[in-house]
Amino acid sequence: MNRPLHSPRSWPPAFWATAVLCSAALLGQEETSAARYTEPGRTLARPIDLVLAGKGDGSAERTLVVVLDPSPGLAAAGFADAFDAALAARAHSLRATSLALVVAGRETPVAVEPTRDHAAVGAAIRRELASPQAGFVNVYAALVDAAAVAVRGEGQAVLMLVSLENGDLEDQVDRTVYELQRREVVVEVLTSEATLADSYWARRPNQQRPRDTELTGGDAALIDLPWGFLLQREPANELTPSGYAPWGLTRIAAGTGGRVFLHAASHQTGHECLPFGTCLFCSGDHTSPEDRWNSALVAQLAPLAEARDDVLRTRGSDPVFRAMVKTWTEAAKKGLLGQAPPIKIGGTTASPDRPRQGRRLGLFSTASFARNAQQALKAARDAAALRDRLASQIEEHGADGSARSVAAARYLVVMLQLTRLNLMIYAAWCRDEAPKWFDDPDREVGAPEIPPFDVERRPSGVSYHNLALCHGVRPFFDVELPGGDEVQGELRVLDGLFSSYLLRYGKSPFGYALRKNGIVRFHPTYPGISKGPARRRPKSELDEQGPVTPRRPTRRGSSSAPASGPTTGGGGR
Amino acid sequence: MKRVWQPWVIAIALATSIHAQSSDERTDTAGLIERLGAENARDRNHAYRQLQRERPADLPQVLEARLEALPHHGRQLASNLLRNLSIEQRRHLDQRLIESDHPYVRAIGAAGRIRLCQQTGDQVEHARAIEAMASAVRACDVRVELGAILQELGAAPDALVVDALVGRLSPDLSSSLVGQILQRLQPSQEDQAIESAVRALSTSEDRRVRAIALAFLVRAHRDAVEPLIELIEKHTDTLQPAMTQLQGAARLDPRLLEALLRRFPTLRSPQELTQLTRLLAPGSASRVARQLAALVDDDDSRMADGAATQLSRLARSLSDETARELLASPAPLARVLAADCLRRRDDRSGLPAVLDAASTAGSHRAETARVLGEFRSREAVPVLLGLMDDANVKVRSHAWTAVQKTLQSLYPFRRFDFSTVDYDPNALDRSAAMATLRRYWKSLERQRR
Repeated sequence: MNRPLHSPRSWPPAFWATAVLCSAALLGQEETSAARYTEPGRTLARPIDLVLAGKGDGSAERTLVVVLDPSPGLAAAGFADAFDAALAARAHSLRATSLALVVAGRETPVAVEPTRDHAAVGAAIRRELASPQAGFVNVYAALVDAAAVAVRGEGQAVLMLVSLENGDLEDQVDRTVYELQRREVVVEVLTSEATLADSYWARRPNQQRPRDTELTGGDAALIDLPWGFLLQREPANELTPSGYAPWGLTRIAAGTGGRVFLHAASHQTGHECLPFGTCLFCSGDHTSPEDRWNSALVAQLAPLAEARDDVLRTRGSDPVFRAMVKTWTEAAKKGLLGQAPPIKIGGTTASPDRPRQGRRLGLFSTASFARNAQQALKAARDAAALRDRLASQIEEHGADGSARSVAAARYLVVMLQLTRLNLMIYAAWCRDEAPKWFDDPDREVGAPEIPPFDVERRPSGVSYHNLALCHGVRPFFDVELPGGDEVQGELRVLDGLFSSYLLRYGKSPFGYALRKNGIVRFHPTYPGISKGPARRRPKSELDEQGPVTPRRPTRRGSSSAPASGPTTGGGGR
Repeated sequence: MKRVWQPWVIAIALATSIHAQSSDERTDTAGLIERLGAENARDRNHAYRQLQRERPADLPQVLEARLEALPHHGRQLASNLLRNLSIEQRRHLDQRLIESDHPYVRAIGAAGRIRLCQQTGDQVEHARAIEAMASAVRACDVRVELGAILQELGAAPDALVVDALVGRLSPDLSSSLVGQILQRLQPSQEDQAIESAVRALSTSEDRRVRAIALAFLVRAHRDAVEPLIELIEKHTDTLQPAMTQLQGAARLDPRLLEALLRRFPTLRSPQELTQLTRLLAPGSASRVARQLAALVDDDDSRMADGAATQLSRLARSLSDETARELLASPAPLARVLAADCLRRRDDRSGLPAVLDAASTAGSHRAETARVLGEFRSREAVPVLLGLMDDANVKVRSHAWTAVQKTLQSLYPFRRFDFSTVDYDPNALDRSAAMATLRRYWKSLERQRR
């Protein structure tokens, strides 16, 4: 009986036996990092060239199936032209290669069966990209379909997956790897760069998606960097390029002996100090030296490319990772983070946990400034205690932790201090600044200054926005912040931690992520002036609509600069 | 009886009127096209603009009939008009033009057919059009028509057309024509025919032609560096044509690079300065910046302004080392731009140099005020307040913007309405506004202590 691939009951006994044996074998293996499988560069031309050229002199028989996800981004990037140019340049290398085309997301995915008429494949690709498809597409299912096509041809079976948009829509990644391994198919992947420990979909658990798929998207098998800090408008995780592909695609390449190539459009490599905040120190002309990443450091901090369960097992026995997750959990309980970690730490293991929100402190929902100040100071004390405890745990166990875990844990230490500073600024603002104005609305100020907010109306709460830390903490020494010497003292503590972190991790995704946070500025909010709702007149609708493919929401993307990828001076083409 | 023939009269009158009107229109288009060939430039430009504006429906037919009879300058204007026609209109017209005995007319038709075939993918017609273009190049009057045909060609002509162009090269052609031809040839070490033809040019009486030929050979990695250096060092008028030919060269020979860098102090116009900067900056931004820094205080204000503009553009791509070196430049503007370059990279070590530059007189003060604003520094505020009273309105305006930026950055928890100060950089009397601002700044400093 044919069951869908995603149903565990369809998995043959041989799979389970193999999985058990493989897992046992893997326990003793050293970690497999995404850096081993990810090629440098951010262009289209080089990956296509390398994949078409193959690894030999072109005399060995080969069947190469292009698995195309014809998204608008891929069409705009000029993939059709680049492919045709590579076909022309590599004609000699392709003399013993049959090409085929499988299109992800189509009812009939096989567009061109294996053929020596390479121009026909180029023409078919061009036709597909002439009408690109937006929305979610299951590229993992397409890989399984393509594997069946590849093994029908002659010689070595190779797939080239080209998907700039859909690597984050997972469909049983490890099962797909097994199928591809079973058929001895190599998968080369060309995709977009993932975001560091991406929390985007974790924040949107109700996003509609195709049946039996999961939306993940980060560079690692799990979100291994805390996100949702109190008083940060947007998680830095969602603004930070990782230098690697989404974990699922890296896993596919790693599991089949393939490679991962990354692509970025030139507009993605521009610098923005803080996309959802303000920068006090430049007019958008910042060229931070930290943006030129160090390849060796990026490789050192790479995520694991192993099966998800193996990653959880490895991380679960990492003492620094365990300490970080425990601190993260407690910080969420204290209301310092909006989201608890998606991981549960057991005796010596880690396992996925259901999404859990952090405690809400209710610091901003009222204009009761004295109460808000008191609560903020308590939370600031909690932050200091957690910060110090985690710092000493890192000190004690740092040598036993992986480089990535140590980077994430130290990030949490710095962020706890930043959160503490922001809470103390808030407490001072509630205690000193806001009452100063609301208690004395006729207070005079000299031109050009005017009252900082509307003191005639009664506030109902408080809001805030972030002032970018992209230029570091030191420029803030000259900035007037509420709280006087006490806040200045915390600012110096933050500067020490921040500078030391950037010294170690500056030219890497982790340093980048740290700079995408901010010190905070507050202002009161007021009840809205509303009119009564318009009367809704119901009406019946007779047209029937069919099921609609869930649409992928647009999001702000970024890529590690420069466009040639993280380098120490050289670069891809 | 009257009622019987009156409608006939009206109908006949109407028909006559329509016929007359049509005749006038035909005559009108034909007349305008005739005027394209007028001796008087004003007359032909007027006719051209009118045809362009009105786009009469019978333009393609009339042009086809009269194109060959027009003098050369008229045909050039007609060719521009043809470019505005739709693909359908041109399809039939070009088919006839391409068979003309007149080389330039044939080239116009061939160019249109080539563009069309690139869209439709018709290889057979494309090959015919290329052949027609090549024959037009071979047959044309090189001094009168070749330049116009080159405009029809586009940047990268087919090999057949290239061969035809190479066949027309000769040492007694004008430098302008030689330059245009060579810009359309791809320098290659494999093509012996092109090399021979270009080497023949290097014996031309016209030294500008020799410079262009030698520069082409340099781009083709032939050994022509020393003769080119000797030529441009001896004759300054050969520099500009050589530079035009060298544009796009992937990498310049180090000897040639040195020789070109030495040319900076001898440049005669801002256009040459811009061209030389564009040629050398991609490979040697820092060295070019040093040369420009030496020119920003030039006695010739056009050269000084040109150098300042180019240096501002280049400042973004200076290495840290060069930027720090320029902080010690004798030219204040160079120091200011270098400091700004470092500031963008979170290095504020150039601030003292900018503060110092603000205290010296010169055309750099406006840029200095702007850069001080970008530093968002407390130290800069008193200096900026002084610059707000400068004699130059541009300095005052930049300083005012800078003060606003700085205050908003240093005091993010305060709110400002700068219109309440009533400061206008254009006002003759600014004393009250200045006093208000100084008083305010003093109060802020007191609060800080």
